[in-house]
This record gives sequence, structure tokens and C-alpha cells, in this order.
Amino acid sequence: MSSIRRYLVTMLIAMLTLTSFMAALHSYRESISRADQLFDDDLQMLAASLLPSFTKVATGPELADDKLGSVVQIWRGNTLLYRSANAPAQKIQAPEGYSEQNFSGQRWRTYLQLVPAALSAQSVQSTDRMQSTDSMQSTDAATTAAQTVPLSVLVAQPLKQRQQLAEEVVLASIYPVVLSLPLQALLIWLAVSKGLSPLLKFAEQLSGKKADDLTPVQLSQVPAELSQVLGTTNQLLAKLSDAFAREKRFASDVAHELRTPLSVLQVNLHNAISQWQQAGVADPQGLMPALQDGVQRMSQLIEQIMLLNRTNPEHFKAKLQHMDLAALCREVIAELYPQILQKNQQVELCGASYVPLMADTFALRLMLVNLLGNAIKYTPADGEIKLTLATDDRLVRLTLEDSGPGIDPKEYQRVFDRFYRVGGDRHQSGQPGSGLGLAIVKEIVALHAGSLTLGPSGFASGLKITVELPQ
Amino acid sequence: MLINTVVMFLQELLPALLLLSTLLVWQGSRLKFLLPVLLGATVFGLLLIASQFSRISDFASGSGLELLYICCYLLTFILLLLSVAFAGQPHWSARLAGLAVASLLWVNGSNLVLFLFVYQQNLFASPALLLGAALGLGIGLSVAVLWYQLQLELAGRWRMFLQLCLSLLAARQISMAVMLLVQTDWLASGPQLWNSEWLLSEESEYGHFFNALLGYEATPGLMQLVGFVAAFLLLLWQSRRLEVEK
Repeated sequence: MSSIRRYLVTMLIAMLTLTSFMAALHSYRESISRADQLFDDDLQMLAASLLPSFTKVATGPELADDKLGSVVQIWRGNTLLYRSANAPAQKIQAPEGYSEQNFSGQRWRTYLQLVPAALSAQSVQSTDRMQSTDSMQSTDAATTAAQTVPLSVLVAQPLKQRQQLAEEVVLASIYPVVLSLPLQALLIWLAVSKGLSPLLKFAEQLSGKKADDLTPVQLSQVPAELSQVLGTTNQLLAKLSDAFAREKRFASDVAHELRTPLSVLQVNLHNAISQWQQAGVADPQGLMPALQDGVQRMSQLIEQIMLLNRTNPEHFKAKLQHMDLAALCREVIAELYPQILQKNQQVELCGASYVPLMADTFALRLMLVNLLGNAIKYTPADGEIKLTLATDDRLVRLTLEDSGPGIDPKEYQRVFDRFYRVGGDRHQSGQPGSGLGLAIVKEIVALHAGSLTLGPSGFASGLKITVELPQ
Repeated sequence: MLINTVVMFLQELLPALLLLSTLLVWQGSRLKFLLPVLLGATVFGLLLIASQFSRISDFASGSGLELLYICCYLLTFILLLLSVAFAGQPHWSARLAGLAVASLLWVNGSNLVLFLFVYQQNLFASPALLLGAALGLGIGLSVAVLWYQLQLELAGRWRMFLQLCLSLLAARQISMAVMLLVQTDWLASGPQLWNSEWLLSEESEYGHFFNALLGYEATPGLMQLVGFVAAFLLLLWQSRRLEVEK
């Protein structure tokens, strides 16, 4: 189910359409059947109403107020006593009762009533008693004939007109069913949308939350079906918030608790080595420098872990401000210059002398220190390092190239993993490192919605790192 | 008039709509390959048939239209078979499925065109015809939507259900082709196997539904049944590894 709303709307409309249209069809069938019955009753009543007066005229006017154009024929034997104006002159052949016949170029529903001779004679007599004495003679003759020949009264209605009239009446009741369907569909869509609105608001609030916003989700109206989900989600958010707070405290406490004894250890170690040297105590196995390196490496590792924790997108709140990246590069080069000087390396800063940028100064300084620090560390003595700054309408591009050993392209993706070092602990450079520097750089670039790519440098060997940041 | 129009619409539209809804359950997200082929081929085929009605009707001693319908039914079956056979190449499979529905619509659509615009002259002249068309279309589409959802639900629980539906719908086309072949005396019907009119009338609502789904006939001949069963088993075997698109 890709969408609850689409599912509900289509299902409800389909079910409503099917049931209402089927009901309309059944209603149509039933109504047409009833209308036929009514028309048949009408035919029968017409025949009965004509009986008393059938002897009056041989032909008569068309029946008044008859929309259907009914025809009437009254025969006594083969003698036509009466026919309506639209009736054919010849006798319409039809069985007694209801039937369908063809005449006058169309199909008709007929009703033939046969009146036995004796009954028709009585009928004629009773009618004639009310008439004047002038007609006595003709009545007598009719009475004599009625006593011997049966009377047939045939009334007929054209089927097409009957069906049309019935359909006109019945269709009028079906039109609203069909025409109201779009309105019903719209109402269903509105009702389903309204019903799902708390869920949509809930989803909107969740998706609109920032990474560090772990406050509970608040809805003005919470339907029963959603209250469990909302309660559980808010409980999870509360637990998550507590966990983050604990993690922050833990990192801070660990940093404090580890930094202090490590600093003390470093000082004591330095003093011990100095005192041993002054006292002429030998260190035949050279353990002290190894111990000093280990302590220094642990100290660096803790610093890097702390920085990684600070630049984590879930914790880090970037304070974007106008800054000059070129100036920052100059500052970082100056800061690290003692190390560059120590290895007698050549550093070059090329490109624009002013590169305006909206960025977090602390984060970018950290990024530059890590990148340049790595370059200094892995570029051999007398090597070259080149920093290039370029800018266009949208991007600022920082390129750092060195003449170090470089990295195998297969390792490009992995070097950004935390604690990963090319060649593992037996890193061929022999330089101490935590394997966190590039992971921190990657997070800082991601915080600024930039991109980071690696490639071979323009020197004979070495690595080129390109950082692109939006202006 | 109204009832005739509704029945006509159900008879002609329901088979194609049921086939389409089953194929949509199977093809799922590949609508962008299925729909253009379906719409393009349907419109093109119907225009071609409508423009050549009299020639087609006069062909083969007046049995041209029946011959065309037989070819369309057979083509629908073959295309469904190919669509299942090419299930490993989803884009082609979806296009073949769209073409299968289109070839069925060439039969049903041309019947509707004949009914609405040739026999009745003008669809909009008669309110009953228009209303009947609306009712028939509404009922047909509703049944197709409900059938689609039912298949989605059941196919998720029982993997064979989709294969079964697809095989029944494909076998129905063969059954219809055999029926037309028998009607035009190109094939001997064989003995009538049973008469289930008392149980399920072909003219009832359920009768129309089952005719559209599996070519239900109250009085089937032997050849019709043989054709149906053979086509059903062939497609069922071919589609045994089909998976429902999630």
C-alpha cells in the first residue's frame, strides 16, 4: 500500500459506485416492470370503461388525453362497432388477454376482452334503459344480435411509446445517482483527508525536526488510533535525549579525567628523562623514548576523539559567519610553520588572496590543521606542499597537494573511515597517528554541505585533496 | 435500452479491465512501460479497425470480423505467454503485457464502437444510452478496482494466487477463440458437456463476471473445455516462478 489516503479513497469510491449503480439498475428493472404492470392495468380499465357505450357509433374520435396513442377496436363477430381514429380498419388479430402484436408499422401491447353473448346483451339492455324512446327500435335490433354473437373489445398501446414513457419516469430517478457520484467522490476525498490529517501533522512534525531537537511531538487533537504511536514516539525521543546528554557528559568527563593524568604523566616522564640524563643513568634498551611516544600518541588520540565528538553533526551547531579562507590558511601555515621548518619543507599558498565564505571558523581551522598537518607529517624532508585557493559564483575550492608517497586509489574511500590508517598500525611512514584526522575533515565538509575528493598530486608523487564549499 | 447498454459495456469492458488489474498487480511499478504501449496500441488498433469495418466484415465470406476477433484472442494469449516468459526482462515483459490488453481491447472496443456509434447512431442522442454507458463504465471500473485490491491482498498471502488469476484470464481468451471458431463452423464443437444455467445464468451479474474472468459458459462444448484447460495448464506452468511486485 503506497498511500493510505489513495487506498481509502479508491476503495470507498469503488464500493460506493458499485453498490449505488447496482441498486440503481435493480431499481430501474423493478420500476420498468411496475410501469408495465400499470400500463397493462390501464389497458384493462380502458377496455372495461368502453363496454357500456360500444353500440353508440361505428367510428369515434381518438381517445382524449392519451399520450400513448392507444387504439381501440370493438367488434361483434365480424362487424366493427367502434374503432378509434388511429386504429386500422381491419380487425387486429390477437389472443384473449395480453399479448404483443405488429400492426400499423410498429409493435403493440394488446389487451383483448371477449364478452360472452349473454353478458353483452345484458349490458346493452341496461344501457339502453336510460336512453330515449326514439332509439328503442335500434336497441331491439342490437339486443337480438348480442344474444347470438360475442363481443370483442381490443385496446392496444404502442410498445415503443410505453417504454419511452416508462423510461422517462424511471431515468429521472436514476440521474441523481450517477450525477451525484463526482460530488460523493469529492466528499469521500475530503473526509479521508480530514481523518488522516492528525497522521500527516504527526509526520510533518517528525520530518521537520532538526537533528538536535528531541522535544516531544505535540498535536492539538490526538485520535485514539494515533495516541499509542505518539506516546511511544515521545518516549523514544525522551530516551534519546537522555542518552545524548549522558554521552555529552561522558565525553566531557572522560576528556577531563584522561587529559589531566596524561599531562601529569608527560611532565613526569620528561622530568624523569632529564634527571636520568643529568645523573648519567643509561637507558640501554631505549624504552623511555618509546614510552614518551606512546604517551604523546595517546594524548593526540584523546584530542582527536574529542574533536570528532564536537564536530559530529548530531552535536555540532555550526556558527556560520563571514570569514576569509585565505587569511585562515595563512594563519594555519604560520601556526604549523615550526614543523615545516623542522623538515625543511617548501610550502606555497597560491590563488586568490581574499576568499570570502560563510562558514564556521573553528571548524574550518580544525579542517585545515588536520589536512596540512597530515601533509607535513607524510611528506618527507625537503618535500613540497602546495595550497591553492580558487573561487567562482557558487563554490570555494581549496586544493592541497604534497610530494609525499600518496595513497593507492583503492584506499581513497576507506581513508575517511574512523581509526583507519593506510597499512594499519605498521604505517610505512612510521608517523604516529590516530586514524581520525580525515574522518573529522569529512564531517566538517559535510557540515558545510561541501564535497571532498582525493586524487594524485601534480608533483612526481603525492596526494591531492580537493575541498569544495558553497559560498 | 439502458439495461442493454449496461450489459454491453460489462460484456465488453470487464474482460479487459480484469486482465489489466491482474497485470497491474504483477507488473506493479512498471506502469511507465505498460501504459504507453497499451494506450498507443489500443487507439491505433481501434482507429484502424473502425476505418476498415466494412472491408473486414466482407472478408472470408462475411466472417471477417469473427476471424479478426479469433486472431485477437489468440494474440492476447500469446502475448501473455510471452510476457510471462520474458519476466526476467521486466521492461519488455511490461510492454508485452500492455500489448496483450490492447489486443483484447481491439475486440471489445470495436464491439463497443459498433454498438454505440453504428447501431445506435449517436451516443449522446439517447439519455438512456448515455446513462447506461455511465452505469456500465462505473460498475466495470469499480469491479476492476476491487478485484485489483483483492488480488494484491491475496497474492501477498498466497503466491500462487496471481499465477492462478493470470492463467485463468489467459485461458479465457483461448476459450473465447474456440467458441468463435465453433460459431463460424471452422471447428467442431463436440458434445455439450453440461448445462449450468440453473446454477449460474450467463445473463446474471455473476455470470458476466465469471465470463470476463474465465470465459464462463453455461453450456460449454468439449473443444472449448479442452482449449481452456490446455491453455490454463500451459500458462500456469510457465508462470510458476512469477513474483508479485512489492
